[in-house]
Amino acid sequence: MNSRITHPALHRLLWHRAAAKMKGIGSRLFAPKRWLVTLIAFGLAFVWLSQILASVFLRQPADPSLLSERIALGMMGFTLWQVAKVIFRKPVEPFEWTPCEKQLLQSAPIERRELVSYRLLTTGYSVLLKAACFVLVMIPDLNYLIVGFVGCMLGLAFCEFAKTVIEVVIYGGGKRASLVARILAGVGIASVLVICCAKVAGQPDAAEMLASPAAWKFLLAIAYAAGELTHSGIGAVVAGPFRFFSDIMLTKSLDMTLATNMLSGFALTAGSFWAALNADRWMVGNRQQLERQMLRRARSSASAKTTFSNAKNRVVSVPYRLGGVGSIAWRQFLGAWHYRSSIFFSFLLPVILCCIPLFSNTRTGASPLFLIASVAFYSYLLLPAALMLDFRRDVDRLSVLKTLPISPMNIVLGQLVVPVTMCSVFQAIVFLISGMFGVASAGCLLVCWLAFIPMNLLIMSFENLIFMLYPYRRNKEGVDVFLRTILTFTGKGLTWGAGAALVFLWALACKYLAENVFVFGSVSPATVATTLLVGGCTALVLGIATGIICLLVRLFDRYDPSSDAVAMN
Amino acid sequence: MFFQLPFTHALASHPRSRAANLFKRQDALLISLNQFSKCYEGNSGVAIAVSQLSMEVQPGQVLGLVGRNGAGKTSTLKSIAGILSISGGTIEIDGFDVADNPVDAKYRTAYVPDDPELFHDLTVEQHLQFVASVYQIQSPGARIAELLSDFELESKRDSPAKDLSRGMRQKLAICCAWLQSPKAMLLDEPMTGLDPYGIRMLKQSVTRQAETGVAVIISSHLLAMVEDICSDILILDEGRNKFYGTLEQLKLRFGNTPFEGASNSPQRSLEEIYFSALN
Repeated sequence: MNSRITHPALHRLLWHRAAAKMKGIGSRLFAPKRWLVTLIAFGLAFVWLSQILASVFLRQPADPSLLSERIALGMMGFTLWQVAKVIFRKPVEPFEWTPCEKQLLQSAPIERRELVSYRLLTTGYSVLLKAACFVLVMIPDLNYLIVGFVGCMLGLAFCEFAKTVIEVVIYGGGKRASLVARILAGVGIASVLVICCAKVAGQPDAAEMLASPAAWKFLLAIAYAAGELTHSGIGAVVAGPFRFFSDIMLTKSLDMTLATNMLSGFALTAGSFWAALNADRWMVGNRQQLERQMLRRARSSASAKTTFSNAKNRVVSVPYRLGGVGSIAWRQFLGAWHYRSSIFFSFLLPVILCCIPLFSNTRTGASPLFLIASVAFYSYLLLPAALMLDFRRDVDRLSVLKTLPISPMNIVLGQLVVPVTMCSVFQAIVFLISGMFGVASAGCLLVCWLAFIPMNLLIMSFENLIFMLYPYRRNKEGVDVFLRTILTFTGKGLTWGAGAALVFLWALACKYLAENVFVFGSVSPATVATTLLVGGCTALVLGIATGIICLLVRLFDRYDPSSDAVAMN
Repeated sequence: MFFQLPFTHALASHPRSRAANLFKRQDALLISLNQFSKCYEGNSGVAIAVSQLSMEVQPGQVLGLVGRNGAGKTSTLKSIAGILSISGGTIEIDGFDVADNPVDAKYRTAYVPDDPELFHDLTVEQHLQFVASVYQIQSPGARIAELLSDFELESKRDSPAKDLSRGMRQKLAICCAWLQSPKAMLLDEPMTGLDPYGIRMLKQSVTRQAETGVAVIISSHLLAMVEDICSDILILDEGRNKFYGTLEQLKLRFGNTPFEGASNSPQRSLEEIYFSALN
């Protein structure tokens, strides 16, 4: 066994791939076929950069001690979130080797340790970019830019490596370890939540916080309470390592304290890197043992099967073809059924978040509006990522879909059926619970629910449109993914704002129309205005959704696997 | 316990076995599987893909691995190549245990997968340079040029892998395998997607490699090709060794076994013998 970190051939590979990726991004951005996408991307990039420049030049530096605390908390929160994700959604395999890496690298005479280092280093490259962006935003608060950059890079790398260690351990430990980790994490999360909720509930303005739009004041209070927990004994131990990185970033002078913090930061990052390598070595050995045990059990038990003997004599058929829409939707439904537990947990958080305002004792006329705003906000923000049961899941099957004897329109509609239905189910659950708490009348909630269906169609078709404009792999990481994520969120934020402004303007117009144009003696202006508002919004949403679906059909129809396919590895 | 090969005489009589005889020594086993098993855990329980398979391949021997779809051929090859973990038993390449000394074993092995996955953003030449770097081949330029010329990839030298056709990707994967000087060669359905010229080139080059002492295992459903270039055959059925021996032994053992749809011809083709063996 040699002592080098990675194989020289892997350095060469990294270099070649980075150069090719840059070239690929450039050629795709400036391809004549994509001029519109490029234009939008540049527009969004301009908005994003303007926001950053504005935040850099127009804001005052934040309080250093408070900022240091918040940065440490942010890093800790990110790491814990990643860890929780790994625990509750066990990885298929750690590191996610692409088929090419499996074939070419795993059959090559390269030590496993070197391969893992290679994978960790590729993560490190995206950390560089993230750190650069973060430092850019933090310019007013940093006394030494380079030191800040180093601190941020070390911190982010530590978060990534720590996440990898947990991922490897969970995967390597088998089912029992996974179950234990889930129970421990579940108990931990529940305990923290209960403590925080109890703290916030004890505050005098708790009821007011609960009733705020999307319960954001309450959530903010919970976050503050969770932050305060880091001053407790256990909390200080968990948050401790992250404080080194924030202290490095915001250092006031180049003194011995900085040197000590730097040393600690380097030691922590290098330690987590070393821990990831060793965790992988342990994982390989343990998996080997588990596999041998599994083989022994399979041989000794009567249920041992060969690959030929597990066919079931069950007839499966597609319930309704509906011109192909039914067949496509049925396939996605099978996928949803397969991932039912993950989807259930993905639904749980938005349902809880939407229902938080229901715990408020004070009901006002605005309560139903707050509820609707919460449902719309979480449907727009959280559900599209959780319900990838459409084109986004079929990144490797787009060519196959094109060969089917189904019209592009029916394929698009078939792909949208399951996510739209599941979104509507989520909203139905929230409205049902709200109805039980008496937030609004059953009729009002039913109308709202029906009005949300076109909205769901709009949200999901918009997500698919973004995907089809620039197909991507779900679990991929890298510079292009980072840029795409930033631009997508900027775009989503802008459209959300524009949508809200449009609804507001339409509401004003409805009020005017109800009072001056559509005046009926027997019907109150408020009823007319509400009818106009709901009807107009629904018609507008339906119109936009139809337009987006038509665009989606066109894009799918023109999809060319030779030029539009994402790089597989 | 090793499966002993009782076919030395038959092996020598096969035209392709001359190379094998040249390198035959008591201890000259290049690929050795001892009670090798591979299982997978799926939603419907544990599936045993390969069960207690033992076999030995000597230098110069060309072994055809045949069997139904899902018989365990690819699992066997991937395990020998070190891609899949070994659930039971051992696999050795030139005396190196694949599980204990993977790097040493892999230095002596070349693997051509059935559906080659390449780095889409790397060019043909960059792929070959990468492989040369992995296997520490000094000054690979001349060898790369020779391979590109042999497999008609010269014009694609600077094309990224994503622009290659299925057959060209297969050719590039073969070039990557041929670039080093392996002692053991594992080819999984290597003819898939190749044009007639490519097929001829591959056959000739496999025979040439075997003559220089390389142990070759080819998994294929093309029985005519197996008959053409393989000295020995291993039939896998539901992960178990159904038959392992020379083609002559196969004909002797199953040549007269009746099966549904068998022809009345006294000279049965390998295809018919294969069906007899599996029925």
